[in-house]
Amino acid sequence: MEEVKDRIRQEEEKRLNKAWRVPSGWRYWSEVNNSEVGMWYTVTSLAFFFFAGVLALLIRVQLAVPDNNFLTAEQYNQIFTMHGTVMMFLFAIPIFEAISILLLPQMLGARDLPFPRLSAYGYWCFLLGGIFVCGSLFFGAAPKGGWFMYPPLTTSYQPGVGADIWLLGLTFIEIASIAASVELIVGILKCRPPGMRINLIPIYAWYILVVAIMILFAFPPLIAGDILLEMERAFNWPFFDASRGGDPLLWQHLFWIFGHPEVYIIFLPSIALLATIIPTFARVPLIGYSWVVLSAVGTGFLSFGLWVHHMFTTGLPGISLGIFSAASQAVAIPTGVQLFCFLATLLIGRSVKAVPMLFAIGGLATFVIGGLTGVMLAIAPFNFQAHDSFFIVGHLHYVLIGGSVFPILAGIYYYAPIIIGKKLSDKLGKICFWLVLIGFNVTFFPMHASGLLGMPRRIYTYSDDMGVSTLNLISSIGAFILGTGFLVLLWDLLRPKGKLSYSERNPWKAGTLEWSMKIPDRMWGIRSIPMIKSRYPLWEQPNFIHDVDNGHFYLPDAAEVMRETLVTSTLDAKPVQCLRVPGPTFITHLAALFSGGFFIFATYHWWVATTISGILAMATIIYWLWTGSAWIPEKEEKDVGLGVTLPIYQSGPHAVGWWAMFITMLADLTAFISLIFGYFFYWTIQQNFPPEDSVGPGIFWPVTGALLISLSWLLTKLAKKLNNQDKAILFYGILLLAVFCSLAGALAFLAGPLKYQMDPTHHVYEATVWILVIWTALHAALGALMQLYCMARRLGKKMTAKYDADITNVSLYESFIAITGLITAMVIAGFPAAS
Amino acid sequence: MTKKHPLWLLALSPLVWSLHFTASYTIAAIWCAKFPASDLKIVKLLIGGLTFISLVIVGQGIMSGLKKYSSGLAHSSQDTDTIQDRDRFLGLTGLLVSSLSFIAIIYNAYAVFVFGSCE
Repeated sequence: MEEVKDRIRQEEEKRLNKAWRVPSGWRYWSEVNNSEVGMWYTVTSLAFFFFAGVLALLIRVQLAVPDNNFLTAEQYNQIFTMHGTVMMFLFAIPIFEAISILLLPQMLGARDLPFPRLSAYGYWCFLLGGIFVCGSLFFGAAPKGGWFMYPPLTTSYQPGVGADIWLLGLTFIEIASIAASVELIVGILKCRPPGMRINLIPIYAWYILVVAIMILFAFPPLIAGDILLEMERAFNWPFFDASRGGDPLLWQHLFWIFGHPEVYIIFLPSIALLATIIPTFARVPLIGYSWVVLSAVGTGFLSFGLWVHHMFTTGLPGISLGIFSAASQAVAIPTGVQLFCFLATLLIGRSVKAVPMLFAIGGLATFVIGGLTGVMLAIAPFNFQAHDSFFIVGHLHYVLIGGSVFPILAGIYYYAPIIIGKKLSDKLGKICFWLVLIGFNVTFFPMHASGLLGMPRRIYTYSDDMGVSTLNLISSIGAFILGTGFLVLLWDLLRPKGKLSYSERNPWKAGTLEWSMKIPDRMWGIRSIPMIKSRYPLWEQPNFIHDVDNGHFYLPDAAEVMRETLVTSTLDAKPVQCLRVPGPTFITHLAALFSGGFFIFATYHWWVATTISGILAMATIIYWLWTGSAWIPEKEEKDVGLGVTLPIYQSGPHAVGWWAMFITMLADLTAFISLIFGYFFYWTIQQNFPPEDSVGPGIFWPVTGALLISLSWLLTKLAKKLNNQDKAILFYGILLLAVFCSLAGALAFLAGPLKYQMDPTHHVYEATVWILVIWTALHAALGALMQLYCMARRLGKKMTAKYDADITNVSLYESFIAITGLITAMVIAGFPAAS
Repeated sequence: MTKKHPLWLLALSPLVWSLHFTASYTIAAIWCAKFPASDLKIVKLLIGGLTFISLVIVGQGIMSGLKKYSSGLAHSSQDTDTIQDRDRFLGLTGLLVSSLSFIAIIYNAYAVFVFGSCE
């Protein structure tokens, strides 16, 4: 009997192996599995981190002594801009996405995240965009306006391509970040193992859920700002030109609406690592799970009410400063709560000494210092004094390195056995820790003093008379100690480990699900998707690993040799679908390449190449969707084990694709609302907006456009119903009418400013109307393309009355576009008429 | 049970804070831009009204979370895979998030009320 069971198990494993096999040779790079993509993502982010670290050392060499000429002012400006930009956009955010893509499926007992090709596409976009942005430094063409790119410095005084590289290169990368956040949100909400109710979700996943949602609302304002700034640079549309009604402060608002939440987008995932690591070494479950969830959710929200504390010295009314100062103080509450929960966990448990804990405790201590100076800076009068001084540089590095880099180092040492199969060296880990801790404090603590003594930020040299020479020399020495610490880490990661034996399974005796993996891990991930009854199943569920290994849970087999994972309900994780996920492909590379081409060619104003690249990107993505999404399965249901049979295909709110569309459109709507914010910002600051000598788009054309786009949405809904009733002719007819309405709506919106000959370079009013109209028209045109796609899907028998995910998702898209159209019409036609 | 307590309810109180915050900022910014020399009586009246409404809604969130958290059970576990534990978790988290929102709204309103003019 045992022999038969063994044979069955071996057969199952053989099929699982075949389904999840990683291609060999050059085809290896076509893999889309989370383990491979997550690993590439992590390595690439770390490579950018080391690159930006070298730039930091160059900065410190330059500032080591007064009146130094190691770097010219031009070089220094490029280097400090790239240091900040690369650390923030190419390391701090991507590393959290990388770690999450790598580890989240294991933490959730999933075989993969729901859109592996989207992860791969995001990675290749990130790599391409990152190389483009970093490469500019070697040609002396890098951006040099600081990582915040304030106009008018970046519009009127920097004619080179540096600022364009920043704006377009990073917009490209931000889109990849939004793609990753869609993947992570849907993964956490819909791909948990059965039984993992909302109160049993790993604390790491809670944090990532909050952060991914934050990305949806934080990144789009920056994308909107990027569009406006690039339009000014490329086409002279005066969004930030005060002489034509624009205002540079709008950029600061849009940038910091992104920029301050971004600090928490960086901080929370790292704290999530600590929340996972600390209980393991305290040997007790995390104390105050609900309180920590409160912290994550509370911080996520409050972080959107802090942005103006970066603008305290811009002359805003005192009452505005008061509002933002109060919110900046309030965010200390949830931030403190989670730290106390960690301390309580350590106090109640029996702490075990280990390298990850060194980094965890060092990180907490460092972050608390940065947090305290943060509370000081939230007080406006102090902020006025310290603004733009090295005090800020010291503060932000305590927050970011304590709150992010230390926890990531803890995570690297902690998760190395899962990621590379081997533990890193304890000895080297300790050396690295002490060098980093000492080097960090020697570098950044003196900066508080040099700042208070009056040393401004972003200057390439200083005079000995300022009295900050010694402090700067100490900082520079510290930087090299810090750099040596990171070199030790690099050596520990890269040193040959051939002779080192594989780590034992669950070497830290953790209780969380990801440690049920075999070491080295198998490509299929978890052997069978378990039934979860606890937050720490390895500690609290008897025979758990045995049952997982012997395939006693769900999906122990891949009978059809296809990559599969489970989809479960949002609140209670009840199984609702056996999801088939796509496998290796090079289409994601092509899509990333053409998408990159679109942005990169636009940087140099090569409009023909830009257009061709954009069309090719669109065509590639359509081919990708056509061949790799919403497959009609060979059977309706599948036995997934334990007597449960699940549908293979879902549409509507049960389907992961519907959620992805919904989430993406939330981000899209946020970018649009940011543009609307711009319109009302100008109205607020100007006595006459619209100005008397400007003409508007009238009422007729915007209203007609909105009605046509709304009608297109209603027709798409009707077409969905007709498709479900299998009335093919009517379906095609109605959808064709919807296509016509979408295109006519787009043209009607464009007709308004065209008919009244609005010149977007004349005044910011005209420019703002044009940008809203173009945004709406482009979205409507994209809707028409999607409607045509649905017709083609039905014609190609890829969509039927029963299998209707495509038209369901397009109907959802159209509802958002109808909202966009109505708001645009109300603002550009209704608001001037009403006022 | 699930229909009565959807997950997004957790975000309701912080959303009320967001709306209160945005409205306070917008009202103050527009008033100070359009009528820089005037006092802030109308602004305070408007924001005071909004604060009252917001606190009532968030207070409801606190009461509802408290009720769910302490719904007639002797122990307060939220750690097992039962519906009761799930609801207690949602209750406690709702209670905490609403309490934080309550405090943050008061912080915000207090800041508005200490200013006498736009300068």
